[in-house]
Amino acid sequence: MPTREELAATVRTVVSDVLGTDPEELGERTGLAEEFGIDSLELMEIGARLERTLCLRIDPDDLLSARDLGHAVDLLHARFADPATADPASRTAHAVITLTPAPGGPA
Amino acid sequence: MSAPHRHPSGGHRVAVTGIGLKSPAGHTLDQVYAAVLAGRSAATRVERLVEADLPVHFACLVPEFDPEAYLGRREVRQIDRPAQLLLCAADDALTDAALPAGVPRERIGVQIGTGIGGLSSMEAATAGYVDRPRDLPVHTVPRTMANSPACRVALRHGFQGVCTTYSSACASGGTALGEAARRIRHGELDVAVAGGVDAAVSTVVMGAFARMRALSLRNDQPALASRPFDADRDGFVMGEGAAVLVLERWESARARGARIHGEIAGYAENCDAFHIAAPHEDGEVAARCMQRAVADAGLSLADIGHISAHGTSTVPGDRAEARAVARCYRGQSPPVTAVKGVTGHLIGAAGALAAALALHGAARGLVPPIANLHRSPEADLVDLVHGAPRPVAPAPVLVNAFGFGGQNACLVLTPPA
Repeated sequence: MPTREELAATVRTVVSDVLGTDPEELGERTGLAEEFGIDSLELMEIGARLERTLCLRIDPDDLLSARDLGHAVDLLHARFADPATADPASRTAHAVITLTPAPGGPA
Repeated sequence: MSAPHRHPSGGHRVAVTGIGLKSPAGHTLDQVYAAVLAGRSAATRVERLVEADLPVHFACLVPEFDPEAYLGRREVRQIDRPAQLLLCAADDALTDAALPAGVPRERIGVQIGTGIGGLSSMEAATAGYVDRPRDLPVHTVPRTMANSPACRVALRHGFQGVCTTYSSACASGGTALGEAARRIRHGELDVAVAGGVDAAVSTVVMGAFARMRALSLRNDQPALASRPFDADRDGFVMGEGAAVLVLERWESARARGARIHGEIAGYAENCDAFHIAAPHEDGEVAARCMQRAVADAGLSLADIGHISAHGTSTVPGDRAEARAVARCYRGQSPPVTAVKGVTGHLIGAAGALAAALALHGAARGLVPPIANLHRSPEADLVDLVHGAPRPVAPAPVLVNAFGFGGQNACLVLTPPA
């Protein structure tokens, strides 16, 4: 399981690649909607790339409800720690990312 | 001349106030015109074509430039090469036009022609993902759809007038300019960002054209390969690029003191209805198209100072076109040039690039020579300019853009008085 730091670096890399910005420009408090006006297709692309990188199923719709990048990383990290929370029924009101093992496991 | 602000049809006259090019022969009108005057071919060997085991090893590519000088990195990542070339050419054309603030956004439209559209991007997506479709990039559809370049221009600038993508094969650029001019003439738009684009120097597209024996195979001498009307031609040379013109109502352009490159005065289109790829060899339908374009401009054939031929450097195409011109002029043709000897064949951008160059040449009274033309079997039919530029009096120019499917599009452009 990746550390939170490793996870944050992965998320920053993926997001910066899709948005055409540098990972250094993305911080814990960066809001993708407010600061980048991210659209739904970009969000889905980020979700798809994270799925591939992390070998986990991610619901991209939920990414949009994260307060900021740090919040998204926190939730991602929490799901890694306890995959049981991936059960949609267990999601909190502001759940950001749903993780279930990708079919076939790590590529 | 008729009333200064009215076209002979009774509609608005159409001024060209901006020109932007991303072409194999350069990124500005002056650069490209200089290359065409000098007969300097832009064709070069392209290693990836050799590596792909294609029979054709060369093409005319747009010289490298920094798209991030125009576009954000984020936008660049979402678009394909045709959209990128068109957006950059459109930016240059709009800078050149310097439209005043305050033209209502719904009165500005985008009218673009493309022959191949996003097929090369879909080719890349197919090559990369045919075995794993679930991994396709989310932007695949918006990146590859044929109307993506035109709609990206509208999106970038907020132009809410009619946005249309025309596909009439190699005539597409001529179609788009003509249709854009009509929309201004008839009052549907005040301003049109119009032109053409294609970028299809890819394995499958090049391979497919080569299978038709449409492409030159002169691999040992790429710079001599595109030779419109020359006896030793053996096919066209694939090019890529975008050509964009900003068109607006003549009276508005005059009133705001815009620099006017000239006027799109006449336009006509028709179809050979003869063969899906070959032109009708007697040139009769194409001749009618030229005559109708000249008549549409309220001119007679004798008013035309020179002709910018479609002239792709294929035997059937050049021969049919020479016969069509000879039919119109009964052997007494005005000087005929063809720019593809230098630029290669930009497919959907070809007609728009030729129109921009023709207007420039007509205004300067200097018709570029046809590159690589030494001896022509069509020399007895038409007056082919070769060897050196030909001085002519500034006069309207007829531009031909013909395409597979029997598509004929003819434009008449008039330099500023």
